[in-house]
Amino acid sequence: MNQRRDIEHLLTQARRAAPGDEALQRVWSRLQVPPPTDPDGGSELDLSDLPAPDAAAAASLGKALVVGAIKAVVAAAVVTGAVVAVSRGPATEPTSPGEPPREDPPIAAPAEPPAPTPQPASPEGPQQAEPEARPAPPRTTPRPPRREPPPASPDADLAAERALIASAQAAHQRKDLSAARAHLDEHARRFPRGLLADERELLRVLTLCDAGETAQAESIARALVAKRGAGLFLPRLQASCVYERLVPVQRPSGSR
Amino acid sequence: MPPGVPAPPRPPTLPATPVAADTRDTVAAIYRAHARELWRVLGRLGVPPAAVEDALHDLFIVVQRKLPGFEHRAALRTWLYAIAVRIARRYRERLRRDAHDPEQDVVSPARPPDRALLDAEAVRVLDELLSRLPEAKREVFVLHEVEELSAPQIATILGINLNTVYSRLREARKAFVREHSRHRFLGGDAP
Repeated sequence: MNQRRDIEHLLTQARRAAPGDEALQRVWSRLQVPPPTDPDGGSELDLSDLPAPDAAAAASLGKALVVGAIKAVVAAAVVTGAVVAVSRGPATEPTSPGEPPREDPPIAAPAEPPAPTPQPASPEGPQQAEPEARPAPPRTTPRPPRREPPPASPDADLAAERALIASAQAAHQRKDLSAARAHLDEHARRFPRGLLADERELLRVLTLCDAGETAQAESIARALVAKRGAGLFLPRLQASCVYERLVPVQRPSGSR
Repeated sequence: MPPGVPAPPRPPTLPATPVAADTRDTVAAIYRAHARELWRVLGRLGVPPAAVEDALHDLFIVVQRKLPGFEHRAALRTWLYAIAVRIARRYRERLRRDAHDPEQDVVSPARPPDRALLDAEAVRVLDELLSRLPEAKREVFVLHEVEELSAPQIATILGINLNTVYSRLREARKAFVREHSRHRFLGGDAP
């Protein structure tokens, strides 16, 4: 029957639908930043009725599969760590589980077979380069004596980026605007196209708002929204000085 | 990373606290394995395309917070979907409350985050049809027909009993077929 085929077609397309790597990468980058204390001004998610993971397991039919999947996930994490360790050489490998985390963006090197992502063209610049996806010769045998002077590894870069953004965020929260600006400026100087560049600009908007520099805040906010789309940033600007200026301009008069 | 991760190394509720290293590794692995399907289900559950990035971000913030208490014998995927359903509900509520659609009220020259999804006409039509289903039925329908989860899994995710899942699914299918017929009859652009 025609209709049945149509419906099946719709469902099949929906099952195949997938986001772009770029978008997933952006979300992952945002997850590297400690969340603000009051994310997007919204209410906390009510998870009171969230089933406990154990209960979920008990109710699951494919328990064995699930356990397998979890093991695979954990294994993937271990493998990722191992690959990063190999590509970075032994000198930089943390020796204890409490060492600083590895920041490899997970989407750039997917573990899933169906994901056709060889190496997404990163819009954010060199900080996104994946150690494991690098075309450089795979250094499987450690060579401690002499290597070229250590270029800032992507991991180190991202850690440094994150530290700067976190410092800026903390300074902004305690209303130390000059400190916040200093951190943001430093981030802009060291990582002009870093993974967290968007986060930096968003914080800059909020900082400028608090400093009463609305015009400059608005121009940065507009650039940000134009570059990345509104969905990602507009909600987080809701409580800022620029939101009212952005939304009326962008809302078509006839929209519902 | 030791095999017995994640250990719970931090106090339970401190949103701004940095996530422990081993937890972050595990979150990275979960993100790698599940972000795509979670993105998809958030969209089908009614999160506007322009907000799916935010919703996915929120979802993984929850994962980061709750993961230290996670037992490895648990059904990770089911748990993730349960969070996704609740995140989607919150976004739908926010949409209703704000009384405007952020997807429509912003004209941005940039590509929307999931342009690929929007470009897929079938997905657009499906979303339109899904939006006409009552929410409870929509959730069951999406989880079963799109995400291909089993009824017991859906029961767990939604916190309802199995018979309710079956009855909602039956009604959702009928309603979906009805909406699809109407869409075609009214000259909709169904493929």
